[in-house]
Amino acid sequence: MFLEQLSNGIALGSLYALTAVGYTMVYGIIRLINFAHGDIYMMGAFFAYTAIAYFNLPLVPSFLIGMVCAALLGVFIAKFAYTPVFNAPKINLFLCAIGTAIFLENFAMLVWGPETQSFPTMIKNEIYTFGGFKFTKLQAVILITSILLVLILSYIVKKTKIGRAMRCASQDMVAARLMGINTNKVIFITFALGSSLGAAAGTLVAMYYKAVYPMMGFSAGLKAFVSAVIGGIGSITGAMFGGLIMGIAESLGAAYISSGYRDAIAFIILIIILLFKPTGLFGKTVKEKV
Amino acid sequence: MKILEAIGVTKSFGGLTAVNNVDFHINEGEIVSLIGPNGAGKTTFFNLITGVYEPTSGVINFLGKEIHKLKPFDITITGIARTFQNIRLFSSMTVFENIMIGQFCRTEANLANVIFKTKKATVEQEKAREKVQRIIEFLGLESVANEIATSLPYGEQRRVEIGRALATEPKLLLLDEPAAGMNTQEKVEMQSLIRKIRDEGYTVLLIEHDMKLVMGISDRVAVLDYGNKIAEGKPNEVQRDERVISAYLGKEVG
Amino acid sequence: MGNLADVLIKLSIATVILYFVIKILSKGFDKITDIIGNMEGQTRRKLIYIIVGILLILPLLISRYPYILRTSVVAIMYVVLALSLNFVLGFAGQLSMGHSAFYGIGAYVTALLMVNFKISFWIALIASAIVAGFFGFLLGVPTLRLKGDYLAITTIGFGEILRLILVNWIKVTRGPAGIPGIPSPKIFGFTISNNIGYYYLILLLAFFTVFISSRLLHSRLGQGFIAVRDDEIAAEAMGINSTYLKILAFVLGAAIAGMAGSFFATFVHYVNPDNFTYMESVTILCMVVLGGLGSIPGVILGAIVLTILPEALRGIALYRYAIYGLLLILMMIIRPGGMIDMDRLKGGKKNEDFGGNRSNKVIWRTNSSK
Repeated sequence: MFLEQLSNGIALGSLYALTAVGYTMVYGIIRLINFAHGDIYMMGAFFAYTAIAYFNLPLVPSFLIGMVCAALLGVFIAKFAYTPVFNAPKINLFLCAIGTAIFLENFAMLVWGPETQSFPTMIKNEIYTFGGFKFTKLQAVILITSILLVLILSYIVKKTKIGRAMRCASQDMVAARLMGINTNKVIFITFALGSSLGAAAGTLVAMYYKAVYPMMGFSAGLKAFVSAVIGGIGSITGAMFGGLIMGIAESLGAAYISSGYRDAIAFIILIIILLFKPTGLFGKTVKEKV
Repeated sequence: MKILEAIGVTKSFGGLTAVNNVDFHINEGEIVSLIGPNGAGKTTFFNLITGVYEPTSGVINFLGKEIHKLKPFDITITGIARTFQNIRLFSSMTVFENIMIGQFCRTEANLANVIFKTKKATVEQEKAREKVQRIIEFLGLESVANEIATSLPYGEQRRVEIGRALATEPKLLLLDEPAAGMNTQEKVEMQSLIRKIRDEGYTVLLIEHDMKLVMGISDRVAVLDYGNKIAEGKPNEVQRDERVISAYLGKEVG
Repeated sequence: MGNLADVLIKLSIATVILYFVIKILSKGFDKITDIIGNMEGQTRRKLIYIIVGILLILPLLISRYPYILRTSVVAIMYVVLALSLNFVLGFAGQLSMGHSAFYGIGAYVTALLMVNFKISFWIALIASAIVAGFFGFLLGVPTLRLKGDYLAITTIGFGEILRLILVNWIKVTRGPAGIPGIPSPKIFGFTISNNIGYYYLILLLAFFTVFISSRLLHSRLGQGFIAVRDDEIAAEAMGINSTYLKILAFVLGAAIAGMAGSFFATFVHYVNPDNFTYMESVTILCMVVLGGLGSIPGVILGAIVLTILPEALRGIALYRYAIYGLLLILMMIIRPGGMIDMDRLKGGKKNEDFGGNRSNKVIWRTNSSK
């Protein structure tokens, strides 16, 4: 029972981590809680679903199509909804993100209908046991895909030229621009990467629960954001740990404490951590200079 | 009479000691300047006096009271007001409203007073407005009193900030590079303004880079270098001090 | 999926129309703002009397249209809610996104007291304000440490936890089934039973809220709030105890939201957890920001417009929330200061030569953004 919940938790946690990384990246660059991220995750799942259900494509190409389309969508949103308000007070940017979230949810309802669509089973439900540790093939796929994607992302951020530009822009946008970095390009690439990871997580979740629906991004987005904050927003490592902590705590909490409060567990952890470490586990404290 | 006294004040950030064992005092009615090369710890010292930071060790007394453990707003209430190196005016307020904020801590109407507009609240508000009006006249800001403060030219914004500090009715006024970014004409005006403020009975502590300004108006000058106080005295004494010259010009002390 | 092209075309058309409508209305709003801003005290007072007069006789005029009357009651209730959030967000600049929690607390306190203990509405109303205000205090305390985004997510968490308690604490709240049969309020022996009665009741509450907001804004405390909002460090340096003011704002906002909740409970005679979701908080937030942060007439207008708009768009039922989202984005791009901008309302001249730089108005400062 415990080990089963643990493997559930790890699978769930790796999905939160994947979504949280997208949040954290966007936050790192433009200091925005991208409230639409959860809905990009939902759109990604719908794109992949469409590729499978309407165009009969196999899983892997559909998965990639979902990621690419979501990346384009992310850039589109950044370009038309976010960049025009960069110079306004931050609350405006925040409201634009909320507006985008509302728009995407309802757009999905208009196009795919408000009801839950069942996501076709693409991976056979085989159960493996590994020294008493039971897990399904799907859980293994989720874990491996998540790890792989995060590794690729870390490589991009740490080793490539554009990654270096992203790190510069996240520390000081103005200075980065003065040093000749095309910050607009950096912003768009960040959105593209973050959104494609979100879409990957969305598609994996859809596979896990065998369902896609327009509101699926809402609570997942919120929880992924909580994971990012727990880890210390802006830190990719932090987001991953935060996601795992959340996933495991939620699975175990739902099993042993109360399933009714399952969604509250995330927020209780959040509040406890923020009370003791206001910048999250891996966050840096930056005091404003006077 | 000593109005402010710092004894053995040290502040370190991690391994870096920004202010090291500094003794320092200000007498009532003086204009004292704190100078030193960039990164010498001047602004940190300011922030220690105003409670933005708490000293790692040492004591700061103001009017015979220990203030180094107080919060910034409490320190302002005890009678120290400051301006900021990079101007920090309230951006949605007019000049008048900005200066009026200075009177916040000298008025005491509470929520009930305010909602029922009791006599106490009205009278006190009226008095505060008169005081602010006087400060505006003193600074020559009458013509811009109803403009949004942050839309004014730089020099006027500086004066609004000084006005806002004066409105807190301080004994000691701390000015952090008030002439930074000004042209010669404006600097001369600032110099006479500071003198005028002193003549009104305020004590002034000044951080400034412009030597001409500092030497022209200070009664005393203290020099910081790498967090240590390396000299203190009358402007002409400090100007001749070997260590000061080397700190500024990088010469070996011979 | 087949209707993708159709949906895209319709939404594009909607975007273009909205864009031009907002552009045109924007000019109108500027005019109105300037007129109100430059009005003499005397004229302004007269205008207020006229508006109050119209509001007082309005239900008699529209009593034949129950749907419009009911919508007006709801709109005025949102005016109260939006103004209550305005204390926290517009005045003190704290991004609270769990405001519906206080609204919910108020509604449940009234529901429980009136249903279980048969307590009179007026006492329940005050109890709701006190309990909600107390929770506002509890939530206000973390603001000592948290800023901006962190505060936002914590307040969301607070709201969600509260909603889950309402859902799961079945012994007291009856869970998702909610509490039905909340009686109507009585006043001097008369029972308020029709919507005209409720209209006057909520109007009274709205006048009360506007009165407090406006007295507060023009007092030392209100200006202190604005100072904390604009620049907390400078405010502290001016002798303002920002912690105290922030908590005061939270308590006031929460108490008034609690009163609105109390009204809501007796108005619909039934409360359940679904009335107090995160989306409700977001709706209230949008009213405040779209109307104009901190500006009292703006927030009132924002609440009215955003209540009526979804009703007016019922004709295009399927599209209305997509359009709502578009409206939010376009408004923020075209009119960042909201419908009635607080600064402009003040009649404060902006020295255009020096840019009248509005972009440095920071509703909250992020660490290290510079």
